[in-house]
Amino acid sequence: MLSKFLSFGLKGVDGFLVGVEVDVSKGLPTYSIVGLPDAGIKESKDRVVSALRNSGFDLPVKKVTVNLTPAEIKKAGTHYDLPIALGILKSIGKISDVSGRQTTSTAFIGELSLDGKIRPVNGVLPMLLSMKGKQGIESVVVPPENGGEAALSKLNVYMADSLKNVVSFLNGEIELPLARRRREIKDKIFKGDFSEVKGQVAAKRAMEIAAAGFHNLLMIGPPGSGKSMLARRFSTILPPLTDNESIEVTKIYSIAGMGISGIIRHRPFRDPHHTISDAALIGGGTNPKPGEVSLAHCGVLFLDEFAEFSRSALESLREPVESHLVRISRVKENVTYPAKFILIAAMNPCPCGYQGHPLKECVCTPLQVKKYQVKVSGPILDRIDMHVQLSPIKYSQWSADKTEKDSRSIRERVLEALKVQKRRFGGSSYFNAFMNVSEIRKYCRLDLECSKIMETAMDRFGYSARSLDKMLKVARTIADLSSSEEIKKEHLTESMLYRILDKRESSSLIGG
Amino acid sequence: MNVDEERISLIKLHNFFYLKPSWAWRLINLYEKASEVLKQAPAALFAEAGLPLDEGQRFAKKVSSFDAEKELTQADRMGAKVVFFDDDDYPSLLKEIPDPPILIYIKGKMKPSWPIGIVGTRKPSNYGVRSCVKLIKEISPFNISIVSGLARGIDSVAHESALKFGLQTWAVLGTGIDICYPRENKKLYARMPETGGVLISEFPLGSPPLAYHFPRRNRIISGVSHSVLVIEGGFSSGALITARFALQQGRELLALPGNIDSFQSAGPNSFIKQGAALCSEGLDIISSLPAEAFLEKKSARKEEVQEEKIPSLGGLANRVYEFIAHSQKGLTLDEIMKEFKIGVPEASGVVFELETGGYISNSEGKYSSNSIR
Repeated sequence: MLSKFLSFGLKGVDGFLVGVEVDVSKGLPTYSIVGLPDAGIKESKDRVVSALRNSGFDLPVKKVTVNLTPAEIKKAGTHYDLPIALGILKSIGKISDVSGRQTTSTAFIGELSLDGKIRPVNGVLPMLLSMKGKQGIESVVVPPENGGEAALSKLNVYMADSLKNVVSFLNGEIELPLARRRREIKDKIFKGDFSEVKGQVAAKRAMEIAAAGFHNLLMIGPPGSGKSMLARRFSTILPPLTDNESIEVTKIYSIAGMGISGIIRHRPFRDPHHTISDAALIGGGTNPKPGEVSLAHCGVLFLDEFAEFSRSALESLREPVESHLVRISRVKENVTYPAKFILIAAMNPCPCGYQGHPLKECVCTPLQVKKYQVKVSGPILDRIDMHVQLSPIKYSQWSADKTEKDSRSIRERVLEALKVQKRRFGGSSYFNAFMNVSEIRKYCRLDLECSKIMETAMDRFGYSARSLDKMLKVARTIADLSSSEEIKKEHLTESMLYRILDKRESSSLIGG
Repeated sequence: MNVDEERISLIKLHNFFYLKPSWAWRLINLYEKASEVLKQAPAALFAEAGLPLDEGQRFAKKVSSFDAEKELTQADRMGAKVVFFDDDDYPSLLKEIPDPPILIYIKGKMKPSWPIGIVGTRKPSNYGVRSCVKLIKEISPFNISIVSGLARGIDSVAHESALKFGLQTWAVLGTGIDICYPRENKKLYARMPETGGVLISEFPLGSPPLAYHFPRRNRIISGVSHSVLVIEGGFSSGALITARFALQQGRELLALPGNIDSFQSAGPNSFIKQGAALCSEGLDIISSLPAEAFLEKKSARKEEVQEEKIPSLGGLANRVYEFIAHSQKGLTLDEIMKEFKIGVPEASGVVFELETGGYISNSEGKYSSNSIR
């Protein structure tokens, strides 16, 4: 006899409806699953058989065929265990059609353990969100651990902890608890504050600008100058996520199986180690998973020891930094994950780290230093709007009891600048950093005095046309921070402070 | 090509013995002529001179396979000369050192002048560069040649400034004269022979930049110079090797004093402690030379030697400039902002003005003065 239950599949961050058809018929006792299942689904056979037996049901000695529709799309994941088991039970008449509930408007998600318990799975939220009322789904049964995130959808969410309970529920014998939409989950919010970082006024200012305009930032400085400390506190001055952004971020974390129980409200901060593989950074694998760049979506990707990352990893960053998404192509499918993040990179000035240090001697040869710096130059450097140089902090600065700017006051200014940008671009998440050339021409007009300054700077420091555009974007953000309609002289000169790597090596002592 | 047999023989000898000129000299002294040396059977020759016998085999093979005439043609083609010990062009001071090369390769016109060696680290501080330029500028009215090694850092600064201020400059190479090392000095290497510079090398054509060439090169730098000035250099720096050669060869040693906590000045400071002359102005260099040098002063070259530039900017810019000019190791933007209690926007404007005006420059995050005082 044939039966059909509904479940979901995932493609990138989008879900689709999957029909789980089970046919139990006479014939030699075999069990086969068709419809492009991956290894995880094929293994479900053994889990399902044991789970059925240990829940008190006997598997018939018959031919069992499972089909996952639409059959041409690849499917992965362990959450088909539950609908498959239910399909078998219905086919052998253990689930009644008459007294029970409508199964045509209910979807089932859950992995079975051998004792018949239902275990949590990844990606529940994106599966449900893309469904929104479509295709007649009204309710869904999920593992209890996934109830929190599932409740964010507009469906009725039932939480079931065992196969037996689901069967009783379908037979109308018991009620399953409904998942309630929880208030925001308590985020693990970083407790630091910018006021804890002593000195480094210029670097802090650069961070403020980066946060306000969504500019990528490269920090260069010797060990102990506070690069990592600053970067970790960067998220404390970022604006909160908008509702749409929250959903997007939560979806990605759900797919990645990062154990979320509700919606994410804070901007993610990801700091992968420099030994990370390309696939882990960008996303990939046979069954594509989002990488660090996507986990940093709408937040911060902090790459410490930037020059130590493999060249191919740095190269692969180009696409997400440029187009804000990652495309992963496989023979049978193409997956796209969003990846719109602020890149905060930090590196030493040379391999040993002490070039230009006032007290310690740098032991690198000039060639080593050149090699080290060349590694980050080129395409990826072109995509970074701001570079700042940090100097080691002196005791007098460290001990100064002068209160430093705290995160809250910086954040307020960032929010103000955000409003200005919102007015300018209309959209909700469009920043100065995303301006294209025609927008730069439109919004970053220079008056006569500023043009003059630009000309002087180009002559003197040999800035390229590309760095000019970046300067203009940054100058626009600086002007927005000081609520100025026009880009003024001081905004422009300040923006030049953040393009140190573009300066022509000026041995002006001799050449001058 | 019509070259006498003696010269060809000397080139052949040099090609084998260039790392051990004293052996070549021993053989030449023994047989009076290089051509005579080559006529001897190698085994007997080495035994007679008391040189290691196993070298004799190699010597026979090397000398017979080496084409000295080709070497001469090649040198000629690239515009270089082979200068022998007895030639007039052979630097007279070099003849006095313990193991002078039997010949050297020279490219460029060597004018009679007072050679001064200037050596220093490949990674100088802003202070080192600034002082080197200042001192060369101050001695530019005199008939001085600046001798250095065409390396990165102070060497390049010394050559460049000499050319800029109209002084002759000699670069002693650690490679064959036809090879430029390091590569980034390609322009300087090409420009020097045409603009009053001279390239000097004792290594045969095509010799690569091998590590042990450079200490030997350093003995020539001090060897051709009247006095040697050490600008900067840590304790293990090659500049200090040159300074020690200078002392062995009886040259006057001068050193630029530096901060006691600056590792680049550790070398020169220790020389001053041991009795080297402290060099704080150009005249210190001139006074290390015979009195004639002082009398040979040229008329001041007005267009080249300009006075220190003092910014004629607004009040704040001037004060910031003074603050930067008086710092010893350069200042970060943070330090400038703290001193004047100004914010980033204001500070950026001031440093922009000063930087584009050429008064200060920024390296590794620190601003320092460009001025030569």
